[in-house]
Amino acid sequence: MKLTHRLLPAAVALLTSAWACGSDTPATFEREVPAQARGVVEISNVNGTIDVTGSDRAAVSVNAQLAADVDHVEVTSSGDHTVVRVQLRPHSHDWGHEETHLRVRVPKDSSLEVSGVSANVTTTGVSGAQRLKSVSGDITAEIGPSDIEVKSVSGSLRLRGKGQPAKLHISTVSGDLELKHAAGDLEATTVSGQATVELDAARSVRLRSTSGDLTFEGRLLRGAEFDAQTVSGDLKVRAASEDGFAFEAASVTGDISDCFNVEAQRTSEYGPGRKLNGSRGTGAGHVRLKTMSGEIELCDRK
Amino acid sequence: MTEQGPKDSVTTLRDLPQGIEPERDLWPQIEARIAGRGVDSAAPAAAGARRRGAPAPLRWLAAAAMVGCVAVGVWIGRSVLPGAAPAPLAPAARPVSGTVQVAWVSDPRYQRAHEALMRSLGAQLAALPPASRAKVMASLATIRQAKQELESALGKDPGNALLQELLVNTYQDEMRVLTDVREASDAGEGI
Repeated sequence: MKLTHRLLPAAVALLTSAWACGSDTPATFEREVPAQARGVVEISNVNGTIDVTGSDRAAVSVNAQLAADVDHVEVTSSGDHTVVRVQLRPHSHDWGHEETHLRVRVPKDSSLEVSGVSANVTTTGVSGAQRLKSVSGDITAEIGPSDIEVKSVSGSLRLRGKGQPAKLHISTVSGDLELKHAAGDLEATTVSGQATVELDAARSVRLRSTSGDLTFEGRLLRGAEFDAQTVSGDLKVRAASEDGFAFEAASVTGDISDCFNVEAQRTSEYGPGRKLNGSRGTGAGHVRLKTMSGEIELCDRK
Repeated sequence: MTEQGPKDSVTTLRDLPQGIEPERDLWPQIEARIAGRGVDSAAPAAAGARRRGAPAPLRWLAAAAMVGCVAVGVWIGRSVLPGAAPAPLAPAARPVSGTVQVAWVSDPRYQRAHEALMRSLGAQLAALPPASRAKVMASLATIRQAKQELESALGKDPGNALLQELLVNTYQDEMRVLTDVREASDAGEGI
């Protein structure tokens, strides 16, 4: 009887721990390391989410819910470089169900380098430069006053600025792009994704797509350069500019229309092809639109 | 017809005179010669042969010029393409048909890089998440179709600069996608 009493707590503890291990409750991980206010923070996670928030503290703090296939989370800080990396066990790349959710707070002026595979990436309140990459995960980012590079294979991109000028480099293969309230210099490329771009003040814009439609709405600064090109995707451009712009639109088989009553002309008497050339205002800026079979719509009003 | 003479200094095309009359009318003499040849039975046949023969070299010249433009454009695009690391040597280029395709075969560095990326594409796609893999394959098919349509259109209109530019950029896009896929396949290492 005494023996039974002595063994009972041990048995309960054993059963409890066995239940805990067998349940779906993910393990949690928390760590904080000091970091420089303008340092570089590198974050990577394969599957799940990566949420990054800028803060006023000179520290990088990590809170994670770990999937079962996680070996460990590496958090190191050396000089101006901090690394947060979710390391999986070898040969555990099962692209389905195991998700690790990573929440990281970084000094708001940090330069951010985030890399995911199937992980969705979100950044908020970071004013340093951002390099965000994912294969199939979606990327949602708040654009600050610094440069940003966003790259995805099939994930969708939703980027929102605050009208502060920056250099924006964006590329996707099949993911859609939605960019709002950005400003400055934009270069965006997609193959089959749809790109919807709204810029508050654009100095240079270069958009390219193979089959995806490109839609732009915004204001061009004086002397702005705007180039957009597709093979079969449609081009819809509504670009306001106080000083106007010279425009050249060309299509091989697609239609060209505008909101200022200028007729597109045939490029040759016998072959296919249409072009629309002219100028609005003082013609200080340049707008060039080209497509093979897509339709072009150009307007100088937002 | 001539409204003004040339200015002392010409800075733009607009500064040049808008029209200059020839010093003498050449047409009556040309017409007389044409009429004279019409009487000679051998002359029209020879002229016809010349007319039939003339476009062929012109076509070849146009095709060669186009091929040159495409090759140079691609070369420039390849040399500035971000992330397009030099690829290992590949076996001899596979034969491809079509005037525009020949331009690519004639650029050995592009061909080597493209061959290497295509050779490892299967393994790289296998390393991607399934949903992403399907989308990448669909995008590559889109690019292939775009290339075919552009090449077909260029076959009908070899001198079309817009088509040439779009084709060059489509080849660049294909290389970009292949490079991105290669980098993305290193799971956990980012794109």
